[in-house]
Amino acid sequence: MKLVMSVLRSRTWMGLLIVDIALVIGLSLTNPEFLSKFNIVVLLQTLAVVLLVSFSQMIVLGMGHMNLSVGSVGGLAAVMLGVSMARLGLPTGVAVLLAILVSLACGVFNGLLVVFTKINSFIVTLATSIIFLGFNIGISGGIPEHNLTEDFVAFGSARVSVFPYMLFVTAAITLGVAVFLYRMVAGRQLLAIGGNAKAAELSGLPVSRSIVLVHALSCGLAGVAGVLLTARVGVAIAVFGQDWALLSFAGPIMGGAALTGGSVSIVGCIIAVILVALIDNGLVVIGADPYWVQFFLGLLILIGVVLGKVSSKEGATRGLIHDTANGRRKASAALAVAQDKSAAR
Amino acid sequence: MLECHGVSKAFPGVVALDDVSVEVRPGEIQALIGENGAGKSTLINVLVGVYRADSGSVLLGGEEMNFSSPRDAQHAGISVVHQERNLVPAFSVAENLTLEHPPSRFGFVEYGRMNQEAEKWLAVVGLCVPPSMLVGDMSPAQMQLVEIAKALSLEARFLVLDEPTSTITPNEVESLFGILRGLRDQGVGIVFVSHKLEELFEICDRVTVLRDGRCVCSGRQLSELTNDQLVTLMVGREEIVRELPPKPVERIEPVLEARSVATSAGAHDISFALYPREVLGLYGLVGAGRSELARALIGDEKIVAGEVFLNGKGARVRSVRDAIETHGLGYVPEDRKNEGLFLSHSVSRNVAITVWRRVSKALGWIFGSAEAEIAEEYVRKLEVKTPSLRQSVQNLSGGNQQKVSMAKWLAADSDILIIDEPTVGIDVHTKHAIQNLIWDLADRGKSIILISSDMPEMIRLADRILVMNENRIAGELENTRRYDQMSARIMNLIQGSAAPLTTPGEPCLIG
Repeated sequence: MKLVMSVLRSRTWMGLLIVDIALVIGLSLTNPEFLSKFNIVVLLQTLAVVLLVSFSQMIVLGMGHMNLSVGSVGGLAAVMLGVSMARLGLPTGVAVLLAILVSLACGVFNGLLVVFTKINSFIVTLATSIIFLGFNIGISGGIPEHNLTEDFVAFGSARVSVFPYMLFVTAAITLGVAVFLYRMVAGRQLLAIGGNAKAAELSGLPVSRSIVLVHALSCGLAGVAGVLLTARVGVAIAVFGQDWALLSFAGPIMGGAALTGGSVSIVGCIIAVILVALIDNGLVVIGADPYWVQFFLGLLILIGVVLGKVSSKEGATRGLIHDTANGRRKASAALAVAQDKSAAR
Repeated sequence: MLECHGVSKAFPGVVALDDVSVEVRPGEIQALIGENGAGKSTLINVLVGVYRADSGSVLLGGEEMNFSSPRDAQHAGISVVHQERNLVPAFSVAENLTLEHPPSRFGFVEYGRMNQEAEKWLAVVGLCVPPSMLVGDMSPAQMQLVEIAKALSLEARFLVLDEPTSTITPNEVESLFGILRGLRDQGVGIVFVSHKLEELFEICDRVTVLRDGRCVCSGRQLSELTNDQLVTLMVGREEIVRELPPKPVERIEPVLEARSVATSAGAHDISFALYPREVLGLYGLVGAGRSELARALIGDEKIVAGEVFLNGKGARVRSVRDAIETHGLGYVPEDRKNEGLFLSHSVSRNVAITVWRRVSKALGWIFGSAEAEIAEEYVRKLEVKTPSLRQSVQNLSGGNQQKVSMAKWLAADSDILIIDEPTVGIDVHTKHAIQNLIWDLADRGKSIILISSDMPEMIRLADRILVMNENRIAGELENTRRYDQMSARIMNLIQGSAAPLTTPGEPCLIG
């Protein structure tokens, strides 16, 4: 048991990785169709979209905020594509660019609202998610748009062996997010604000500017996810993304992001999203009743979150009443005594 | 020279500063003392740019300064290290040091240069850690040094330290003092705010005393004053310290006994007994495991071995609720703000919270008046200074907050009280009042375990003293109440006297 626990605690995402591997093995044994080329492509396409949705939430979580409008922005990107391509006859490139720009604008809107009203991002984005959904339905009339440009739809199913083109887009963006958060000043600033907003303020960090920037990026990512989803499905539907709320939190949190901000794990998020994609795909492959998919998805995500807690260092030092700061205090007090001892030698 | 002339500052309902003039010279360490509510924090905040004075002026080198934010003051060379840490725990030391201006090119962080710069400042404060170490993994003393390094890296000519020694061990205090003396010798002017008068005599040159927003003494040489004179200046009248004679304690039947107890926090082989009407002191340095032991006794941490007996009978404390309701235990936590109080709630709610069940009517309805009745009794008994029972606790001074935190246990009428560091960060007068209260509680029949790292307090109050070190009991002493003798015996029991945290000036060996 001790060995199991120490392996689980070596990395926050270790528990998830083990479940991922177990699931892959289990599903392949249950139904060899799981490993068919077709299924792997579908799996990777799902992964490509869900990973972007997760990143869009992960970056605001890093700053200690939330973005509940990711789903509606995804839907808005889809609707924009529908309008640009079918009604305005714009070429693919322009339409995609427009969709992403509109998504970014939504994020700027969210960010500015948070800065000026000083209201919690949870509430602000809850409200804007409904506003954006209203736009989506209003503009599209609730009617799915089928007349998308051919090359766009072709892109959605294009692939190199088992790897969909979409996955490369997501891979490039993943790299970008990693570089942003770990190597770029703006990224470090957002994590600083999440880690200790007061310290960030006292150090003169441009907090308002960061808030707007991060919300913009978040909605931008959600927009790209919406574009990819539309390409894959081949139809632009206003209510795309309405189930993204749970998904967007599952990835980062199972992956080890602190809800209060300041610390995220990209690797953890990826592994968690793989789990979500596997569950989603797996349930279909084993022929589970589609009505039960939601149930199992929720249940397995719950288990995933608990595993994530067990794996983390924080789980190890908790008492019922103290919070993590206390756990850290104990750990660092012990460290101090140990250091004093070693200095004595 | 940093000066302020005739500074006044008022907030709604209270005049925080009234015509205060202070001057700090380069190359000196000046103490700033006063009771809670005297205006120390406000004065500091005016000097470092957090607040704007209503009238009067702040001058630096003879020139009038108009700070609109702490950054302005920082750029002018005045830096402050607050009582609470302002660091990002998930970031490394180097990143925290350069939080304001990380070395970068085209928006990309240059970690190499950052670590190099950090090493330079770490050496100045003598902190031997790799610059990539995460601040969250550091001890309070180390974090404090990081903040001092950060203040210095902003080329501070004047450094304000707010209660720098309240969370660090005596050895670390010595190291810190060495560093401060070094800075003073280099010409930095330091303002040292503290409640620990004995420390001030060690490190400070001059002292300024505030009382009720006014300056009763500005920049006097500390060598000319005695401890009692300082206290008199702070309090405004002679502070008569009540003699607390040893009580007759019957050591027959312990009310609480621990035998070979081990806890999930790492304590092991803990055996001791607590007798009725006794104040049992639990002394130790930060990190010795005292609070963790207390938490285990009241059910917040798990006891993994050994047994606890309450009034002679074996007891299993399953949870804190169990401890309070079934076993009559109570715990006044060290961290009153985060663990002892509901800051945004009223005084009466805070006091009555342990006895809601007693106070509520059918279906769990609680009437404010019932709460208020209970609260009123204890607010009166403890002389809590508050404009009304409905006052939000966060607006009270530290000492009064601590009284409210304790009042709820009086209301709960616990027979056994564990009190954890009751007078940290509290002014001298209230400190004595709380100590008298503890003694009175024991006199009237309660049994108390007092956790404290304040030696004078421990020797004044305790009947017996347990010394704890590294999660075990190092020894037990009868308190003779003779300070020099007891403090020497206690320190001797703390084995492996730790070497100083850092040795400024010596080459830094990391690892």
